[in-house]
Amino acid sequence: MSSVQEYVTPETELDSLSDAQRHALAQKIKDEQTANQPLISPIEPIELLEKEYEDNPGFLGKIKWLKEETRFIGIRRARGDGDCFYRAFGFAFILKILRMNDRPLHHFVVKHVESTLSLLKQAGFDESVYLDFYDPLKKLLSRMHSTDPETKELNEQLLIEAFNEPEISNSIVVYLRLLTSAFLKLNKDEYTPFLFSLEDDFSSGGPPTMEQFCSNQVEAIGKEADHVQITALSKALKTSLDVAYLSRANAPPETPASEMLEGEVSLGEGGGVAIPGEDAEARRAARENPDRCDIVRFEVEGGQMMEIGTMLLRPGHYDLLVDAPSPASPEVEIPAVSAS
Amino acid sequence: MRIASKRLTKELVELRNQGPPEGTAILLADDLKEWRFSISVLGESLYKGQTFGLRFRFPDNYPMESPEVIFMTTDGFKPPVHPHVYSSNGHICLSILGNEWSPVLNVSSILLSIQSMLASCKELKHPPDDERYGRHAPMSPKDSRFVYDDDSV
Repeated sequence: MSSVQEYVTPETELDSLSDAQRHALAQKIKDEQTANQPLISPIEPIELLEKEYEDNPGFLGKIKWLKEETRFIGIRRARGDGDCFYRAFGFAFILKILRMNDRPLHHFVVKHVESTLSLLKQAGFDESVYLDFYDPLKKLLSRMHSTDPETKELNEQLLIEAFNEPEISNSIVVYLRLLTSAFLKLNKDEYTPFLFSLEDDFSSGGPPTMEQFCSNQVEAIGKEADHVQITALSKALKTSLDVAYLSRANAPPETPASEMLEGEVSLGEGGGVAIPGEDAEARRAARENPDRCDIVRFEVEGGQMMEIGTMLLRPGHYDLLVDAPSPASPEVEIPAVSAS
Repeated sequence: MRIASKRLTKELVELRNQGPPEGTAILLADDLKEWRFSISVLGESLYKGQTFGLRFRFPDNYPMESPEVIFMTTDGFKPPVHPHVYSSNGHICLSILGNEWSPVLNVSSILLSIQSMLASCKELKHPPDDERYGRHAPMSPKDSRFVYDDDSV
């Protein structure tokens, strides 16, 4: 066996390339296209998504469903660089703390985030390495309810700016990756059964070990998060979230996408499909609608600290869905803060 | 201080105080842009008695991005004959330098990976596309998109 260099010149025949080479070429084109996108975008109306898929009836039906049957009115995009889940999670996490504007809860969250450092240490990461990535997260969190008059209090606009600062934004992505990895390694008996070999894993021979999975798929920059990683990060940060799965409508049941989704639903503790909505009648109707999006809930059972909303998952990419502003009612999901 | 400078300063202090991995030595590390190492393989291997040169160049956003690492073709050094090393320019096809790079890796772990890549080699041969790559290769291996089909060689 040897390695192959993919070097496409203008005279290269596309047919002459192997699948792996074509995949690499497609990835390269994607990289070039995404380089100019903001890391975290301002809110865009959900109608722009409809426009994006106007020639794709399968997706379009689901977007219309999201728009009409749910509370979502907008989308906030994360750059499609393979770090989008972690970046969107980090952004939504801090934004939620900011919006709750609750000093005791903020204090509790800061303490909990700080306590996750010990998981990284237990998992064997080098402190001198991970503290560099923790620092920008800590600094952003310290810019809320600060008693230091020199500190510039964080607001939504400054948070968006910070998340578009590559060094801050990528450090937070790396910290969340390392935390995910640490949580998986420390709970490997529970999570190893959910690892499977990936189709682009050439050195196959069965599913990877947790160590291999973490170094190749979790700690590596640009590798997309799947159900296992989402579950781990959600539990490590005691943070629940929903993922709305925008797949092609009426996909035959044997497609890998739908198989994956079934696995996803069964994996999450207390998982299952939760449809936003008030009464059972509406839920039943929604279930029968082929345009219904599957919304998978990642619920932290016991000790949930907060809930950060819904991500939109299109194959290989996550963005954040934006709720309609709720009528001036107190947020129901805020847990009572107990001393830890 | 930027993360790159912070991290590289820490790595350099450690390399100087504790020494780089056995079988490797610092040839040059005067700044935080480019470092050079000599490298040989410990124990029995096809490269017994040979010493190679490695050049590391660090991007501004290191360690978010991997360093550029090549086997030196200057200063009397020649790249090893190895199925993942291109003879004309010393470019290395190693997944941790490409799509499996992680910011927890560092110069020491790269040196160890390269030693292990050499140590496990079973046959002295060039990559199958050595000649063609030599003609088309970009200046930096980081601008190449390698297909990592087997890291076990």
